[in-house]
Amino acid sequence: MKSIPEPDEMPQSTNPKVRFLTPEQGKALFDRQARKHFGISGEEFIRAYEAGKLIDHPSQSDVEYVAFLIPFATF
Amino acid sequence: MQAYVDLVQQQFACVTSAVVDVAGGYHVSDQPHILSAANGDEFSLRGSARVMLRAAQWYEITTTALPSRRFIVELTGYFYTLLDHNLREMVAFHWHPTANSHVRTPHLHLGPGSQVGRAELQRSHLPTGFVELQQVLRLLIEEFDVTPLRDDWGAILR
Repeated sequence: MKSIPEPDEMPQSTNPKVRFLTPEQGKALFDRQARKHFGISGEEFIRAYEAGKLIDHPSQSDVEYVAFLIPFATF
Repeated sequence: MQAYVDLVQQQFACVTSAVVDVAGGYHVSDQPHILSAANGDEFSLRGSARVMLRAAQWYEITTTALPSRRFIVELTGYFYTLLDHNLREMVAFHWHPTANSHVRTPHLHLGPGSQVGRAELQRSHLPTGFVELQQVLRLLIEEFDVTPLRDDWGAILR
């Protein structure tokens, strides 16, 4: 893992365009990405991914990317 | 921990006006927090090369025993994917140490947009060291002629 400098050592934002998502917004973001890349809901994607049903999907890059976004739906 | 998220936002702001979305916030957790730019979508970058970027990070906040440093933010995964204007993946810096990943170390993909014809290279997970977001953004500006949106990009991406 990469250790990042102490927050106090970091510069403060002069342009804070940061959106802290609610759990509902996070789920919506993830759901939209699952539908965009695979045409299925976020919940369907998670079930398929965890069951190993996407291992042979031709677009592994998309599988890996949407799987990476799962924490948006589960925090 | 807001300073870390603000720092990442400043880095993104060197090349895009997209909003950074954060899930999980600032609390200590065993589960990764996640952030991405532009709702997780790829976003266009200004410049003659007409390239796009898709980017997301996992990070964790942990406590330490040091009185002078109670918390540490650790980056625990990333996805930095550069695409051409036809959304073909050119180059992707990945680190996604998840249970379903058979390659859990940082690696590089050369996609169809890279126009590298050799099949082994296109399907390989090419090993890399740890790649920082600012390195990728600097690469875009310096080698892909992406137009920086901030005059102080050199200091932010150092």
